[in-house]
Amino acid sequence: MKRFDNLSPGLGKWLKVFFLLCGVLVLLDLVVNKHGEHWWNFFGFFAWYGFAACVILVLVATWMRKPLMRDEDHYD
Amino acid sequence: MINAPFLILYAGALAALLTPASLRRHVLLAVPVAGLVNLLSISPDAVWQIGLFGLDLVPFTMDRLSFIFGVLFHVAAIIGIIFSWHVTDRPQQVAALLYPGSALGVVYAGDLLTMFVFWECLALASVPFITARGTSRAVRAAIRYLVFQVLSGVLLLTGALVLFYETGGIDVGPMDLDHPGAVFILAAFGIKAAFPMLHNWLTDAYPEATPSGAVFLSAFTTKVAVYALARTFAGLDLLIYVGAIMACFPIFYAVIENDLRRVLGYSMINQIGFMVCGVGIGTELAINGAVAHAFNDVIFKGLLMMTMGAVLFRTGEIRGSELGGLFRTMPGTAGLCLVGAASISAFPLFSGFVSKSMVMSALLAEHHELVWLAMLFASAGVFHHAGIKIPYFAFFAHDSGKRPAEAPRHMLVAMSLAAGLCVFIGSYPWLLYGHLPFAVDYMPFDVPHVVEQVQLLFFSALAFVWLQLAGLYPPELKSTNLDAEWFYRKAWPAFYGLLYGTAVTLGSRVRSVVTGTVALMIPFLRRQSYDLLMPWHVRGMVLITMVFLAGLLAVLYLHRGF
Repeated sequence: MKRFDNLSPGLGKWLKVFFLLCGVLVLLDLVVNKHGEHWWNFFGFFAWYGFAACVILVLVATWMRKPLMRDEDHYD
Repeated sequence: MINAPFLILYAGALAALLTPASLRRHVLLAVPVAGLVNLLSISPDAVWQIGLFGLDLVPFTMDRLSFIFGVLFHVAAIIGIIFSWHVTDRPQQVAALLYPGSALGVVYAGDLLTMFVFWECLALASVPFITARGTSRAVRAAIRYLVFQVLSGVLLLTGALVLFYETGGIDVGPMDLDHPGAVFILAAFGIKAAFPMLHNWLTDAYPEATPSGAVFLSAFTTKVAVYALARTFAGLDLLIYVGAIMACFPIFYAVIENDLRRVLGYSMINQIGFMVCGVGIGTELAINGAVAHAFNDVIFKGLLMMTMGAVLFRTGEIRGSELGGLFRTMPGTAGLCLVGAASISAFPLFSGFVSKSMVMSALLAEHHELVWLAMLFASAGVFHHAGIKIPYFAFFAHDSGKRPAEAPRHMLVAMSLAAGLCVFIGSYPWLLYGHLPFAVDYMPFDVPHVVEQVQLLFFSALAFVWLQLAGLYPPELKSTNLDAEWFYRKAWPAFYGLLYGTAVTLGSRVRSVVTGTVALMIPFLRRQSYDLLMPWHVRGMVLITMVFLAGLLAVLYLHRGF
């Protein structure tokens, strides 16, 4: 727990509820009939796509800091 | 003659200019309310035409597309004026009516010349929101902002003239890029809509505006451009790809940006990307989606901008690295920020959900699967930076130790109005959607779609949690990130400086050679007959002086011009 340390001690409990909800949401895919015949209509596509998109987004953005980041007063 | 909406707001601006400070804000609020009542009473087929120098100018014409934008701009003006109830400086207050009035002027303009006039008024009327901040940083940003806005206007005028020369007409209507005039006009709209590489004026100037100024700025300029694109370039394939790029690239910047209002600026480009994409698809569903999303974006982006404005107003600080933990003393603002966050992230029952879904469905209906995937990426990304990052770093995260008072009551009222609209439009979409340009049968809340969207958002949040727990999430750092502005704020001045320095060195060498040569020649010339030389002498001197002066003028212009 590196960055969440400063938050209230009840956070762990809320995170468990959140993880549980994530699990339930993926399992919903088993009962919901999806529209149309698309290659992405497989189990949990939107879940893993959302997760992967954000991880890639953050990692690439962090890497972008190397060439792009300057001092606050760079243009002053 | 018709009571065109811009007339009421312009007359109101004049009244506000002349009203004493104690009464002014009451006038400000009354005017857009009266304007909205007037708009609703105008007959849909009303037209106002003026003949001028053989041209048919149309200062007012209305259809379903312009009607909905008109309602939107009145509502945005009302909310913005309530939010800025504390503002007492005259330029900002007058601008609070002139700026929306100009936006309404563009929306109801039936010809390009009228549109151009309001287009430029829109640029000028918005500047006080930036300069009123009073810092030299803000003033310089305002000048750069104005350069881009006026350039857009000049391109629009050029396009209109070329189009008039080619076709003999200047109606605002569907255009074809086969006409060179239309290319200029697309470029003009593209600047105002913050197309990629033309976008930097937005992320440069909006964060420098006053707390309430940014709320106004975020509502009008870019949405006027979206309206103009929908009016003239609906169905232009190029816009689908431009929109996709706009939706994707700014979210990377938003993740690492420290100034939370600049994060919202990048997020705004991302949202306009969805609208531009919808316009590019051009089907009835897509245009409806783009227009509805513009409507919703003004409200929820305005709400987010207001919450950040309230934070800046109370703490004097807007950098994520210096904020955090404000929910303790600003719980109302924090809660309203979460409503805005849920709306922009397109959670079901909040306003962004239905409009974004319409654009996404339209993409699939037209078999743009790759673009659809890119937009899905952007949807996850927007939740990440606008939905989580903005509220998290301002109100939660580490405790900054700041204990500001809750936002003033008028700000809470304005934010609550916007939040109420977000929830109302989100959970009861039919009122807004009944007024969209086309009558389309669209089922917003079907079960698979709701489940898919909630999965996407929850797992985006899961990624945030995991990155935080793993210590991979980039901390907020005091920094500037290089963007397109680097080319005109660093590269060009450096290049020009080099060029200028070289010219100066070269000039002094040439001068020493010339003076040396002349010195050598003087004894020789003295020996020649003055009679022969005199006529040449005077004429030559005049010519040399003229050439010198013209050259000097050119050099000075080039030098001072930048």
